[in-house]
Amino acid sequence: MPHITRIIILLLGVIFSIGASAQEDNAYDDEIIKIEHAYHDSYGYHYGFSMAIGLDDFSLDTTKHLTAVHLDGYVGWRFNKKLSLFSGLGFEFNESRIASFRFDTQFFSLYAGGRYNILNTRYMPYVYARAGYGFGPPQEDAIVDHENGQNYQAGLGLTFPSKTNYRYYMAFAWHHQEARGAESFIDPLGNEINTKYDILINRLVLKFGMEFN
Amino acid sequence: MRILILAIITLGIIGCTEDYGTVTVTYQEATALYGNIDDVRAEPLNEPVRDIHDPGKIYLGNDFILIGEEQEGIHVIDNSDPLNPIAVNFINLPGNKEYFVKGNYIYAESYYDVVKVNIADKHNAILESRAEFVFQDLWKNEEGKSLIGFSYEEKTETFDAGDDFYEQVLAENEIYLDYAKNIIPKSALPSSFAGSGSKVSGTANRVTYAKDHVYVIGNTSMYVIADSDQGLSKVSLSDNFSRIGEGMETIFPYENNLFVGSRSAVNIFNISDPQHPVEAYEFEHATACDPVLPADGVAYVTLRTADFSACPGNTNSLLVLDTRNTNDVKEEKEITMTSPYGMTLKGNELYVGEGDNGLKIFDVSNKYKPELIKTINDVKAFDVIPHPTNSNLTLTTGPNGISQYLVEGNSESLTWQSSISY
Repeated sequence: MPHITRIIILLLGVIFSIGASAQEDNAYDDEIIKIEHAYHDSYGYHYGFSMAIGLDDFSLDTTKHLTAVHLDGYVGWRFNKKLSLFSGLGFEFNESRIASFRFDTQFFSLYAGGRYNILNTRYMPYVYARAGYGFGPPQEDAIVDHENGQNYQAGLGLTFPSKTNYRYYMAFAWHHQEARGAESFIDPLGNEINTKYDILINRLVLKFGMEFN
Repeated sequence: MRILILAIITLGIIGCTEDYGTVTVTYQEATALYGNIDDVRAEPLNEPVRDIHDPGKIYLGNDFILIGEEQEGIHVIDNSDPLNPIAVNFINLPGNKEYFVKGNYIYAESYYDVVKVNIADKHNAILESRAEFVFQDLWKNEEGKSLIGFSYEEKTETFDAGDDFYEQVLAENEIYLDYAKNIIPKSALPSSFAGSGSKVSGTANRVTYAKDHVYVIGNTSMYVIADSDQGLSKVSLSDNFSRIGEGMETIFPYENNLFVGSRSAVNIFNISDPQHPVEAYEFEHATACDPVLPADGVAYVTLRTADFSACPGNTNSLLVLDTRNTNDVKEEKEITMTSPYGMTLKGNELYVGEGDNGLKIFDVSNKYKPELIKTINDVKAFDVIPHPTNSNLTLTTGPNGISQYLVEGNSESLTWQSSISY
């Protein structure tokens, strides 16, 4: 399935979610959100950090296995109980396979995005999307050479309730990273194989994080 | 409703671990060469002189130079007049990449075999002995044809994400790859010196000679060939010993030891019993191409890496090892370099070729604490070696050929004398 099709499907899901949340909003509005922000803060500054791993990390097929590990931190602002915007930076490692060649890419990522809480429940589901830019590591220390590229991520998450000023969350997200670069290998005959690639890395990632008010 | 939404989103994202794009690959396509190995062995040894196309190992004799032609043989150059070297013969050694010279004899690998060639008469080399099937038993394909080697052609192709070209190559050619692992690969240096005269050995050899034995290293195995009056004969080593490592690249004999440089270590083998080398020590280092130059109680090791090269990595340095106790080698110093290749000792000076980045000369009066005394940027040197008889001459191999330099003063300047271009 082309990735643009997945983006459309995901956006449709977000739109449906927003519509559904509007219907259910009243039922939980007063109970959950507005009692001294007991479970979920609804306004103002917040920050957090997370770690994500590729779902392929759980694969038992070691020959096809592709690793993805992302670490990031962010700061954001809640405009109301539904909407917040955030900006962050992170480090992202992705293995990638193109034409049966395997490439490792590492990026320092700078991004901005938005989050929309779908339901006002104790366990609060949300959707989010972000866009940013991945910067390659310094070239003098790089075994491989890969250039900067755009990245974007969209996902569905769940924030766990908390009566303190921090809470946990998890999310499934769909991560993309553009990458152009070059890498050389030594083949089994001892000859050089030089590659140049221009790729879009796609990863389904499972994300765990902690958020503070 | 919520279930429906989750289902839609889940369907949208399942299976997203799939990359898109293209990869352009430049590689050496290896084509198997079949033939009658006996016919190959029976080819004439001496052939008319020819142009140098793909130079490999270079040996500097007192008044002659040998230049390997990768996979084909060895050019013989009369260098009695260093200002006017002249090609006089071509020694036909099919499949040859590496050789070593001891006195009037060349010891060379040739496909499955190791040969001993007498070059007392430079115009008429004579095959003295051949040890057959040293590296591999005769390999035949399903049609019964004997594999005698590979020819290589550089290719560049672009593949889409889903193309499994490389996987198929590895899967379908596994048996060829097993064969290839046993034969002797190309040197990690573009062209390098096998030695100079009878005393100075090159630092990037895969073939060497010590105690009446020829030692050859492949990628993972060491082969020992006894050299006696009866000719060459392969010495059987136990499988446990013969497959001694990964990525072996260089071998250098010194006193009772062989110093073997691999991508990730320097291994020292004691050859008190030359037919049974015993590993004395393994000194691990960063992954890199690593010529080794042992001397009296010290070993100099160059570690070279570069992106998009045969030696990928991020280390370029000169290691100084204390080898007074070969059972307990210690690192004394690490000097940052730019792109170090081969090296040689000349008195109290250590010359290190830095490829396109010139030639560095170190003072090694204190052999454990080399001090840089000069960098010569306009000499492009992959390898460097002193002339065996004329102490004022130093030779280098570079991107464009072999150059001879007159060394003046205390290595204060190198004046170009002549070149053999290729």
